[in-house]
Amino acid sequence: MSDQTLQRSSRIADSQAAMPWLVAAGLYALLMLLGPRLLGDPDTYSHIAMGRWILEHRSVPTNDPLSLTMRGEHWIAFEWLSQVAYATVQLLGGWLGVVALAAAAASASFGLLTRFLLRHWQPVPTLIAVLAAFVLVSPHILARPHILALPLIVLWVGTLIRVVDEQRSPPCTCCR
Amino acid sequence: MTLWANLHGSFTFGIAIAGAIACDALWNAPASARLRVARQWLLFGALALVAACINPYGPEAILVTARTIALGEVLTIVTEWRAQDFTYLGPFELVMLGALGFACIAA
Repeated sequence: MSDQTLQRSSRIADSQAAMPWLVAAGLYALLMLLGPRLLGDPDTYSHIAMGRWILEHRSVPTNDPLSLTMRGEHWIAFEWLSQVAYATVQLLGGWLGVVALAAAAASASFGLLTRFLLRHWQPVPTLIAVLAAFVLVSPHILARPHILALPLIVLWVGTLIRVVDEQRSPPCTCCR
Repeated sequence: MTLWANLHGSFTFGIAIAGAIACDALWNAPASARLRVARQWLLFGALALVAACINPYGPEAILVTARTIALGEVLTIVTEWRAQDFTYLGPFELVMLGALGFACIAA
């Protein structure tokens, strides 16, 4: 291979390595611009209220402390960590903080998806697939607990599919 | 998995997906390695379940998915739990058709 070809292929490799970051940064900028639309879900209030309750009481509830119709009934705040996270950023940075956290989680998810797809595909098909995923996910990009779990979903499914593709053992040290 | 189980109820689907992926691993493994692969993935699944129980409510958090699905009728009025409606052509149907078409061409 000539020096020129080597340089060119290393440039392509560089631009491919940058692509997940570019996707994540671009999406983050877009979501911050669309800010208020991420707050278009009434449940965000109840999650933040529950997060505050947990922070104030330093414990998680086993009975519904907030609702009108089911107050005192057995109920668990199984999404407590998301609720505490949203309540904390809301205290620190107001609604902008809430949007910033949800936008960060969503853009990280798409960055990770881009990285997983680039292992098998060229940049253009990868971008088409990421765009298709965005079309499907976009109605759900809201400041709610599920969006904080989205990067983990991508990481979990992407990693498991990769180990199976490469016929490796499951990704834990004691499963070998 | 532990972090996921404390953030959102979808972690139970994560364990279910791991089950489906484990079946793929078993299917494609050479016959001589099947027993070893099955043992590895069963152990992985068991560890994922244990990891999911590391939350303030323990195993009860896993039951929330079952409780939600058991609501039955109510789910038809909650948009995110409603079954997909294929009577019109929306973004979901278009992306699914595209992906199916791609899978047919690539296969």
